Amino acid sequence: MHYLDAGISLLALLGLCVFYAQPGRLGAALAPLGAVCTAVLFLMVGGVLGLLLPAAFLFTALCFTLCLFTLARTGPKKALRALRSPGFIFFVGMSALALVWFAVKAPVFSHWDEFSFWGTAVKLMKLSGGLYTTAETGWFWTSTEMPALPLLSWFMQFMGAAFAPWKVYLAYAVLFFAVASALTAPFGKRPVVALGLGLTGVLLPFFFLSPQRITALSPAYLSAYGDLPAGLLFGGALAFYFALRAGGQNGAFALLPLAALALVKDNTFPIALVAAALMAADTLFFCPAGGGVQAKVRKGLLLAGYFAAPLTVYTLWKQHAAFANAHNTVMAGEATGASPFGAAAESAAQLVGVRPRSEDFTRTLSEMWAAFTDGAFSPVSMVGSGLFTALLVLLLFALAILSGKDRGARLRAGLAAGLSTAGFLGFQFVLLTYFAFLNKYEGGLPDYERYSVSYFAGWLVLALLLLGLCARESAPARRSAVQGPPAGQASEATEQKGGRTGRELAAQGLVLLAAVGCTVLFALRVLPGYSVLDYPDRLYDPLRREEAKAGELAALVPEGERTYYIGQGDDGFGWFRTHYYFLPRILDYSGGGGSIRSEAAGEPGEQVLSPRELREYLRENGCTYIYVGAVDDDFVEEYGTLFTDGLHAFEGEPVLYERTDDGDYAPLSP
Amino acid sequence: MKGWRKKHPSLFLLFACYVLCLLAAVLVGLGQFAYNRVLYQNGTLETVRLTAADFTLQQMEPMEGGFLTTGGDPQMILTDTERRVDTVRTKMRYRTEPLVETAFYAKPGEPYSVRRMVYAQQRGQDRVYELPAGGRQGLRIDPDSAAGNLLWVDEVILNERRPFYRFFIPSATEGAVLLAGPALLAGGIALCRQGLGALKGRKGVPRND
Repeated sequence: MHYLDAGISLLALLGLCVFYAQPGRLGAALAPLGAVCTAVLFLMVGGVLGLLLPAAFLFTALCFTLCLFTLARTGPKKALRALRSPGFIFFVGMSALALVWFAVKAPVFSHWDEFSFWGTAVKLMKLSGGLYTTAETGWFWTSTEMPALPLLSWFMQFMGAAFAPWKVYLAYAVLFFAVASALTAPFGKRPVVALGLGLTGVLLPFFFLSPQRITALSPAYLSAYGDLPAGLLFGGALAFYFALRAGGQNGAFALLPLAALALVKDNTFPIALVAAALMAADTLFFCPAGGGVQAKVRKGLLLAGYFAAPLTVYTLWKQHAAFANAHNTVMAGEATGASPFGAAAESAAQLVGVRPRSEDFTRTLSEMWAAFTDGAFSPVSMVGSGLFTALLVLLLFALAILSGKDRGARLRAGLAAGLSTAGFLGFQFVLLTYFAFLNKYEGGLPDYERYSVSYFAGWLVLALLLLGLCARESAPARRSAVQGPPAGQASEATEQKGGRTGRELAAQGLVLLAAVGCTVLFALRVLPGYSVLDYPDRLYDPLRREEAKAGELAALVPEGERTYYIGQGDDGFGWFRTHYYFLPRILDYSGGGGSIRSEAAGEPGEQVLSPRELREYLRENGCTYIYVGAVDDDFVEEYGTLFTDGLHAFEGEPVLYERTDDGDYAPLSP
Repeated sequence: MKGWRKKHPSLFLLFACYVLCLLAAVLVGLGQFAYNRVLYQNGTLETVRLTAADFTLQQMEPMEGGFLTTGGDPQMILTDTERRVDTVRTKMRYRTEPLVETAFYAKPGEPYSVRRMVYAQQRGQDRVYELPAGGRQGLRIDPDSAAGNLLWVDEVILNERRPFYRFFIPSATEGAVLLAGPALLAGGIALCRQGLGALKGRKGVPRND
């Protein structure tokens, strides 16, 4: 029954969907994304107040209460009739399937950052019952990252007995399906467009995360990284807004996904501001406030709210993180100590030529351009490089603009296209600043395509959405923003009577073609046995064995004791994994992994420590245990005297050593 | 049914497309089954039992009655490269369970590629590889993906007849396409009907059509 907690959490979200789906609120297709974002924000506030676990129980109870209240007040038949939307039905079906599938397959984490943050943060929350910012770990970096995805992942398992990585993947899948459902929201009367956008939404993870046909497990639906979720939530927030507008409602509810978007990643917070700008500009120019001062004041407040929502939650979280952790800085070795705003100013000055360009800046600029244009080296999507993907998006924008029913519709699409393209350039500037000043790197540009996906995903979704909206044949909302029918069930009044125009049909056809294209690319590019659908379980066996062994050794360490990590030849990945396996036991930072040498040997990440210095470190940091993951002959020769057996117990498998009264370390066996 | 069709034309179209695609998939399965049996009938496919001696081994050195993998890509290449292979059942024992076992196929002169690769399926203690319908030449078995493992090749059976039902089980990707395809087909048909309606200049075409 290890899936019961996830099932209850999913039911709670569905309960909230019943409440949200009713007329005058979000509508069935938007309800899932609304529920997911509400969960994130509710838990964030509860966590910041130090009441994470009570907040989760309260939220769950509220969801069920609101569901029962809705059923009682509206009547079950009528209430459930409001849920009749292809997007919502799709969301329920796919989420249930995902729950069963992940529970059966039970994948585990395998990517670097899943151990350095995304997965470890959730495990910390599960073990401590509080935010990861206040949990004790062997180091400090985890506490500086943003909470949206860890909170959602934790919500899917907070009632269960043990932490399970597959429930993290389930949470991400639920988010993706909620976004796909939101994409169908404005198209209740256009099933072709709804189908096209919904299917594309589900396949987008493969489109961006499996750009090439390679013999490696596709991370689509099997990765806890935040880059793609940020991008899809960007698109989902815009779908939310346009769906509300299409239904004749004001965009106030769109503050929900907007605020949640601000909490996904630090370097995707600017994307939330871009989304806010898009919503504000559309509201300002294409949604008249109507007569009266009150209406104008409401509109002004809404415009301010688009920016205030993400800024407020972002600031609140940052204040909490700074307060909770005195070591609020980036990991040593990567940090430059520069302020983001100062770095941005310097980057802008060098870019426009006000200040001379430094060597680092020039190199970064050149490598970014190469990464953007080279599809073989750094593909962003299944169509290839960032350049080709951008061209695809711009082409879709152009088609959306041409498909506009009238000048107003074309201007509206053009404004969204123009602003989002400016946002794209701005995001590239953010990445340039990050690589050039905030995360100085050696060798090639690291992960450019991964970071870029955050913007590309939402940008592509916006382009498809605009195309779909042009296929609705309805004029833009040139009326006062009054409550109308729920989003997804566009009022008859907004639909023009008459047949389909050629433009509208072409736009529908293009949306359908996008879905066909995604399906064909999926079939061609994703290798059998290398995707979430059919990977062999044995692919995860080495990691499961490693975790089992580390868990066996960790169980020998009493609570509160600290363990030092030795992993000769490790580049840090081994340390992160062992740290994750050891929780709740504390694995000392131990220099972050890396070989220990008495003299500098020029190895990346090496630590230069004499045997005496190592002993002192162990004593001063209270490391009463040593986890020996890997040694080499040099290490045994120089540091063997620290161990009572001269490290003879190590025969390729990890060994745990315990400090004796003499200060040396003796091997322990399970 | 007629009443339901009139009331929900879109749903009916979707249902019809799914039924149609399912029928097409069944027909394809039947066709593959028939073709497969014809190949056995005319001797193109023949069930044979082989040993390690029938393969050219790479990165596998004899040791303790079996073979030690000496590299990360041990391979067993069927010496009879012309033989057509439909299924492979390997009866092997391992010191350590291998991470990945795959079988490749390639026409003479064609390089091996991940585009022509199948994973092993566990059937009891054995591994079974099912190559694309009709069989393929140039069999290569990769029994492991790591060096330092010891394995014993007890027997390799080529071309055991596939049970009838196996011809109707799609791969995961095929299943996903079968799930999405009919819906896309229905969408395309609906769009074409809308287009024809627009061409005929009809007004007020029902929105769910």
